[in-house]
Amino acid sequence: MDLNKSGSVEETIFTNKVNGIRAAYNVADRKIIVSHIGELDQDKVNTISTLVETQMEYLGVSKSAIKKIFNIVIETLQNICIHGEKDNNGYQLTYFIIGKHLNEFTIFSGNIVNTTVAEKLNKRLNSIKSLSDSDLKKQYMDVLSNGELSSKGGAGLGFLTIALKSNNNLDFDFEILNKEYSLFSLQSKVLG
Amino acid sequence: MNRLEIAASNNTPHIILDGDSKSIVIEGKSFPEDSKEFYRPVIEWMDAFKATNPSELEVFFNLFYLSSSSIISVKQFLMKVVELGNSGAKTTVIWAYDEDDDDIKKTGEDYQKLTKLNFEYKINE
Repeated sequence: MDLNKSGSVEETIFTNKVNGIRAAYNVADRKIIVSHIGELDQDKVNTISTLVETQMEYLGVSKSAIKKIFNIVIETLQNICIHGEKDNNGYQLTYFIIGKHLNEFTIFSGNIVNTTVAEKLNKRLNSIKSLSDSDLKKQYMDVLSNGELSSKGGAGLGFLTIALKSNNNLDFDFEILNKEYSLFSLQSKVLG
Repeated sequence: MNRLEIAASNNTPHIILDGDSKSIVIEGKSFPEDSKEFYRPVIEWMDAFKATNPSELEVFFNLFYLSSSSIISVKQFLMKVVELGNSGAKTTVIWAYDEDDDDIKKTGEDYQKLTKLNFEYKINE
């Protein structure tokens, strides 16, 4: 798979997805305030998170909303760094976009996952989405009391954190790229 | 007993572990790429400190952001504080936070609930 190759099936599906999000924000009252397409590493995570903070402060968003958004941004970006699949050339195709509609901020992200991971994620996120606020907090405390970091550094708290900070206002989908891989897209909303 | 100081970076906190004054300070933001690796020296220091049979330990936290993997690592550190308490040392955790920062306050309360350690809350001036 060559994700960096313009015109490949995989690259076309990815580009259509990103263009779709951009188009949805290319109207009155809506604006894209942060956008990053391409590879991610910890340095980029630091840069993007600082940029998000600065932009939010500039827009006059409340401190508690900035904190929620910052939490989601870090969890999302670090998830991608740890779990995002790379192509044959070691290239990692990802997107990260924050859109603003009035006082609602939507954090969009996408990365490539293999079919096995896609199935696990689908199950895990559907189960999180079905939880009430109190069950979310309960599961968070369960993972906190029993959780250990995996060899990849995942804790099992990442998606729970995103769900808690967005009041479980999250959505996701998988688009099949080829036999082995899918594009995993996640979005969550926070009111500023 | 050794003193270990870790300087803050863009995504990791400033940490001072001081065996002489029997105190630990952890302040700043924490979202390292590999949280387990980042907190490993802190956990190891705690084991070495425990071996000196200390009478007390005061831990001062003033964090304004913790990623989910950092939250697990700090819990593992706090479990070492619990071990120390179980072996007879008097332990205190001071949890400082900004007045309007409910998130960090709640994280402290979660830790207190989980560890049953003696937590004192302090609002930053």
